[in-house]
Amino acid sequence: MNRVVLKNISKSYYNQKQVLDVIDNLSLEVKEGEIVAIVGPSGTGKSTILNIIAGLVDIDNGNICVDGKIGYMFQHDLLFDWKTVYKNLFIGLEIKDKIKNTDKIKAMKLLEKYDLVDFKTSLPKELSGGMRQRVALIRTLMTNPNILLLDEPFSALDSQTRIKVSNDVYRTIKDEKLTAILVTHDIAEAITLADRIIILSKRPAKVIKEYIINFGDISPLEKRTNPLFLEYFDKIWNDIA
Amino acid sequence: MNKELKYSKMIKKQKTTVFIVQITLLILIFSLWEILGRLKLINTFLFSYPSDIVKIFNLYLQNNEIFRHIGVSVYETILGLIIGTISGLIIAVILWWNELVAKIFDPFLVVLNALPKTALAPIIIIWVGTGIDGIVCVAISISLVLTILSAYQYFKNVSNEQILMMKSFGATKIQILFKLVIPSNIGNLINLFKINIGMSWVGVIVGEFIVSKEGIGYLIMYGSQVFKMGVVMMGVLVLGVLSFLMYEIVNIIEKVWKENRK
Repeated sequence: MNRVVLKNISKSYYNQKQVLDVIDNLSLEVKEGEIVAIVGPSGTGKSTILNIIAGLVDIDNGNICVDGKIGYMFQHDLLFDWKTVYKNLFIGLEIKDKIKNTDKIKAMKLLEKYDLVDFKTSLPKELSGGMRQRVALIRTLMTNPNILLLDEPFSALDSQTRIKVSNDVYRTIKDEKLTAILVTHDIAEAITLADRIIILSKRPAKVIKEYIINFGDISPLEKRTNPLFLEYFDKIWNDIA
Repeated sequence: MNKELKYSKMIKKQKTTVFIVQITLLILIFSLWEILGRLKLINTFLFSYPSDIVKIFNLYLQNNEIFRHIGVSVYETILGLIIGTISGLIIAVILWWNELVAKIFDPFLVVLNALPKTALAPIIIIWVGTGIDGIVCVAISISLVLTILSAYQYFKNVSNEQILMMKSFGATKIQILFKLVIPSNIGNLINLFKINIGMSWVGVIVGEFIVSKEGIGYLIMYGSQVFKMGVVMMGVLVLGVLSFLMYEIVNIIEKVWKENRK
């Protein structure tokens, strides 16, 4: 079953000087439970694709079909620095005006799962970058999404934290059987997290190649030492270069 | 634990030192002023001196005159401060809400901001009246434009990514305003309010200079016209104490609120 279908979509931005064709006739299907990584040179409109799926940006042409509830994770944690960690978790639910007791239980369970219980009443500024991004992950999960949009969510982290947090996110997606679309310019990250990688061209973005990634069921960290990893890496590197 | 204790002790010690030096400085300045006055090294007719000012203050205290003047000025200042700040914020919200309106009014606001508002005071008083209303309007005119421009700038500086995040949760514009734009700027708005205390005082004193029967501005004006420098100095000192008190009250409110916010 397809969770997200984009059919022949195009999008241009206008400013006073020029028309910027960002996406040209792009089609994409994402099946339930699949993690798809979108890789491409920077400035190709990868984020625009996610914004389109999330309904935050209108398209000029084409069709979109999204079946499910969307959770969006951004490059920065975007935590509200005047709210405690715990209160930050409820921003999404607050908007819908319904915080039930079961939500509070869920929040506590997730805080436990990600080792953040001790920081429940801390302010975001007292947390490390990795912890903050985990709080942002929980905030996204609180609204029970089944489609996760990930816009370079680890790029602001240092390389060690990055691997740890991406492991967490990977486990969550697989355990909760979520569907995910990950935008990244980090080839290694795409290979270790995704089931399928889509390579985009320079602007205007078109799909130039697609790879099915098949390691079997091993963690992102284990994938890095698998011989297949280098094979995929070389191929994708050549496509982009 | 021991280290923490040491650190907090150090901070405390530093605080006391700063306070003691400040008080000493104040005493020093006033003593010097008194001594120079008594020794006739400065012209007391022009400068007056502290004990003379205290004498005049006592006089005003005994017939309760001082409280009447303080009451009127404080009332005008608070009214101007609150009306100026709140209406400024409301207009800033409207500008944030509607970019077209902001674009239309931008040059007008810039000109109004560059214009010394005290130049408008005589016009305002003629239009509104010579009583408290006119003076309050002068006070409002001084804080209003600054509030609009600053608050609008604060609102516009809210992170676009955070707004996008709110939208991804399905937030409406009202929710973005009340859950993100305003709360994220509370610190800035409190600072703006503190600046407006000073602005409002300027408006009130200028208004009272122009036309009034009572108030600290009246007292200063009256003193200078009859060349009683003691009265002028007393007015200025009372003004200093009042501004300081108002500022401190806002500081305390801010502190209590910050503690409870978490």
